Amino acid sequence: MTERKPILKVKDLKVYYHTDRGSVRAVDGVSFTVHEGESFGIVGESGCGKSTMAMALLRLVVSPGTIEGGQIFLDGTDILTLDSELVRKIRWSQISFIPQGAMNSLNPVMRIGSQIADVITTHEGSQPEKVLRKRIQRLLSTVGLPHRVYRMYPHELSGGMKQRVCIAMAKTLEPKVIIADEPTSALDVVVQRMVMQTLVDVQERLGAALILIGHDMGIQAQVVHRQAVMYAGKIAEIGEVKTMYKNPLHPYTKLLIKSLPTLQLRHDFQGIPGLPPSLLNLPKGCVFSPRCPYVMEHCREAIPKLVEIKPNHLVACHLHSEVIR
Amino acid sequence: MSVQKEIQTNILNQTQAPLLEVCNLTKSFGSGLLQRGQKVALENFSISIQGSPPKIISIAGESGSGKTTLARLILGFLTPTQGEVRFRGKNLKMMDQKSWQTFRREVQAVFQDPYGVYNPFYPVDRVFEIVIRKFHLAKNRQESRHITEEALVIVGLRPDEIFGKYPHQLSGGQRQRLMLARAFLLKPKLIIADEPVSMIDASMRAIILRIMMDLKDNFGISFLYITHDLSTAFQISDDIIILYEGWVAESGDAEIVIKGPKHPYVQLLVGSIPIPDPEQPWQGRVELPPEEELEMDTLRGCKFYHRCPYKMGMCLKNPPPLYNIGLNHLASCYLCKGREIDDDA
Repeated sequence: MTERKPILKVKDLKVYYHTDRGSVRAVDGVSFTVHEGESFGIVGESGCGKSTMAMALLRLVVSPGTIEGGQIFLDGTDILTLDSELVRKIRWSQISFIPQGAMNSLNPVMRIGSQIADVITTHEGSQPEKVLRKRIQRLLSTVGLPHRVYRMYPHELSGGMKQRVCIAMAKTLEPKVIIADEPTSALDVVVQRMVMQTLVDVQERLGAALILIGHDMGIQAQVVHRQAVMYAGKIAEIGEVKTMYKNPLHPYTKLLIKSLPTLQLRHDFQGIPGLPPSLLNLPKGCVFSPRCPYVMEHCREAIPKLVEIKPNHLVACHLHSEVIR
Repeated sequence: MSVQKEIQTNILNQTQAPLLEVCNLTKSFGSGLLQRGQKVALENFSISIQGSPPKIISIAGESGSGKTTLARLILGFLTPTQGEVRFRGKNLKMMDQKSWQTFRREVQAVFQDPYGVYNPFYPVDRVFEIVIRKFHLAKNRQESRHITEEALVIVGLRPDEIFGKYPHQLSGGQRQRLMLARAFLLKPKLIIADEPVSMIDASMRAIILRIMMDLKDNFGISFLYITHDLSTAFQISDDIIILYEGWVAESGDAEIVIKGPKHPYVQLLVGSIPIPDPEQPWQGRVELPPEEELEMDTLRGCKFYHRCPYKMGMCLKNPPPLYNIGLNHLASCYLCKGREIDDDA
């Protein structure tokens, strides 16, 4: 694969929620790079910080959450330094978002066409209705929806169709990056496949980068090229899915894969005992150390750094840094 | 003499009657008089759960398949439009209070939302106290605490981590395990588990599924596992029944059905499961003409007609019956007609 230019570069991002009981370190020093046209997955279980990170990438973090530190370079510009007016300009046009449960947040009293028109006119100014209609109908057909959806209301559509409307919205202004947070979690397996198919089609034709956030490793394996595994606000491992699923390096990734029920062998799955740590009260050292079957003394003392162990395969684990030394 | 004989016959009936029997159950919702505007959630469904030896039976299907309606009918939360649910030979509709008590004791339930069942104002201990009190499971507080602790340990929870805690202080996985512990207190014969792990993280899911298997192997508890997730159904079930729009598409031994599905819908379903292995991608593409999505009418024929790659004329006329295509393997598809095996084979 030719070296693609980085389109999104996150450096040491920290997002904390300040509460009466202390600071919840939802995203605690996360770094990764996504390249032009690449599909990149961020996978982790509930509470790992992935959704908070998605919000941060769009400067949508609201109080009591604050972006404590770090940089987010979108095509070379650190969006954390931009004023809110500029940020509003780049949202939808440079970087767009399909939030969790998006299909349920479509405006129930507006026709689909008007909602998509809103996105367009907010960024490009008002346009004649006829022009808008043609453009939107063409847009709808790129996600496999018939022209008449333009005049329909959300409740008249099935879950899968609504989600495809959200995909259409996300690609309207031809952004460079599309972030999708659990885009198919409420959908049935077959509809899920169709929606993911549509999303990948759209992304490929647009040449946009796709950041797919979720907890379903099955979907991730089917759709993304590279993936980051998050745990308790930190990244445990980043690599190409082909290598990660065959040779996971981080103990958490290994155990996570082992816990997935597959269709191969029966009774061949194993849960991870224990619970993720409280983000108010993180353990000293590696956040996974309390549950790690390979834990060493050093793990409880020092936080492992995310290091490139093999080409394009990074892991934050002392087991592997030891090997380097 | 005759009275004794009657008692004997009753006892015989009770021991011979299956634990739970569903006979030709149909449930429709919507305006009553005309056929229009009615949604048939479940049609002509039958199943017989013996209770012994214990089994895990999955009812799998997507939304709209009728699986949740089935759970509610079995638990007596809904009344059938047609057909019966029988507990130990007695129709639920005709049971007296005493039989209901026995029913509720022997047939327990665990639901999908690990938060909704708890009253947020009370510590979680209360869910146990209520059950113990209602079913007179303990003579005093000491005994009550003892059997609660026992149940907690069975589901892998530490009593000192649970007692006195409020629901919001526990994780979804802990709350769901608590529900299993509470069900276990009554030593039921059958637990109806309606999507017990779908709102739980992957790593905890595996633990809960293991608990269910342990409860079956070590305590003889059967499960009716209702889910949309075929992977977990494959992993833990003995038998599986796959529903589509209120009908049974395919049923039988879980491993046989999922490894070699014969109904086109089930083939599509199994093929669409995202395998967590990039070397095993989805094969081909799934297309569904959106026009069909907009116009899914109730057909007089096979419900899967519009989406079926093998549709034939006869499929539109009448819904296909369940053909017996193997030892413990049934499928309702005309493609299977002529390939049936005899029951004696």
